[in-house]
Amino acid sequence: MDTTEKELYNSLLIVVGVVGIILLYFIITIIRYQRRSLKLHKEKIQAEIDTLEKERRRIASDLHDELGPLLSAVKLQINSLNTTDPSDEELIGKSSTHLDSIIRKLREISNNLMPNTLVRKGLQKAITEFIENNKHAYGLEIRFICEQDIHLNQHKEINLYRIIQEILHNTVKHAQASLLIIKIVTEGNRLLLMTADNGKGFDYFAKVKDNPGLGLRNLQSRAEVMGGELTCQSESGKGTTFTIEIPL
Amino acid sequence: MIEAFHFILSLSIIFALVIGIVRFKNIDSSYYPLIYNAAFAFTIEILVQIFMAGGHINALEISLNLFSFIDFFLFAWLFHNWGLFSRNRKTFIYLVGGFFVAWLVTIFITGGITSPDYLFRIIYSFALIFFSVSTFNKVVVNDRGSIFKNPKFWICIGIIIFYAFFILVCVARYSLFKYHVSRIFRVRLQEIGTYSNLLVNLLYAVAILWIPRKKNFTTLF
Repeated sequence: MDTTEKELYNSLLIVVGVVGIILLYFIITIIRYQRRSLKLHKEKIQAEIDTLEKERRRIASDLHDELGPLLSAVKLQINSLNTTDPSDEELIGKSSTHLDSIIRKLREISNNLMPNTLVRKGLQKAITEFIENNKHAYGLEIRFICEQDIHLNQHKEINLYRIIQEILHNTVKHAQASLLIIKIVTEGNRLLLMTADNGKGFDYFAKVKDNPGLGLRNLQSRAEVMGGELTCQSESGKGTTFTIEIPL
Repeated sequence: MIEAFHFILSLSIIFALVIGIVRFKNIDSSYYPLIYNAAFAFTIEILVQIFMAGGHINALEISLNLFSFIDFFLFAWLFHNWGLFSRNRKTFIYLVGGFFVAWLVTIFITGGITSPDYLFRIIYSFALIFFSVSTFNKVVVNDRGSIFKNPKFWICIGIIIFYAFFILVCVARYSLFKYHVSRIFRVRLQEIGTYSNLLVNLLYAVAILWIPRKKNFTTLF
């Protein structure tokens, strides 16, 4: 190379070096901000979910422990009324039946807010009970497959339970499906929750782009706080499949 | 001697290709264009060496010009699979069609398919950098896991670095080669491309390692 070429080459190397340094700085800065924002985002979602669960637990406990006994006492008092008038007897009977339905409904609401089975007996039993309770209510066949014993911390159990609740409600509300399969498996150090329905399906990407809705956002947030990943596959007429993969 | 060394370095794409072939059946199919690209790049590196050794300059330029368009097409397909063009097939087809026309026009302008088409290489490099920056931003904003385990992150960084330097090299060649620069200057200029190519090939290999496994959606029914 002659002197001019050498100078030209050196200038070119300087340009390459400057571009390289700018690129490197740009990438490092972006990574740092992404990690910081990710940490904040996770903390925020965790705080929101914790507050929500705490509030649900409080309402469930208030309904079950305070209103329940009060209504039972009212029922007892009504039944202890002594009357010979047939119209009064009929009225007492009707009121007693209404009180029974109110007490039953109250228990259902309380159980939906925070299932006792989930707290006492764990995720598998809670899901089985939830499915049993909902099997006939919506004319939807639900199959639950879980062949291994699942041991998770309570936070993860509650989140998985809520995810299943949400998916079932979405299926009933939107999918027009006749069958929903829920499967939980553990593979190495990860847990896979897979659900599939044979409903009408939807365009997932269009839905997410337009307005993902509270349900889908909830699923996403709960998967995120567990450090997991949610995948949805759905096409018009081909049903909907959700896969949630979480580290154990 | 130095050219042989550059050739060996350029074959570093084989790492990405081998990992891609081994994992091909198990990975998410949206990443297939990257594996095809690695295969094409490997083939073209060998072809270029053969043509250079045999003195077939025309064949060399034809293959490089064809590879420019294939390279752009495969990366555009990859970005389309990642949802960059709103997952709209028409937009993708129009884009590829537009670049095909641009390829034909630039070939015509630069003196036919047997002349180096630096103009198209610069244009498509800019396009790929823009696609990568958009995808990179999307990944940074939306990805809630470790960004280092995200193959899109590595691929986008690779594209941004490689094509930024590729533009510099192409611009230098385009503007200087009409002045009959010395052979050693050409080789030195080529070195910039070779080292950025080595870096990007290794980044692709890492990216292919991190490509998520295919989700088995059919097991339940």
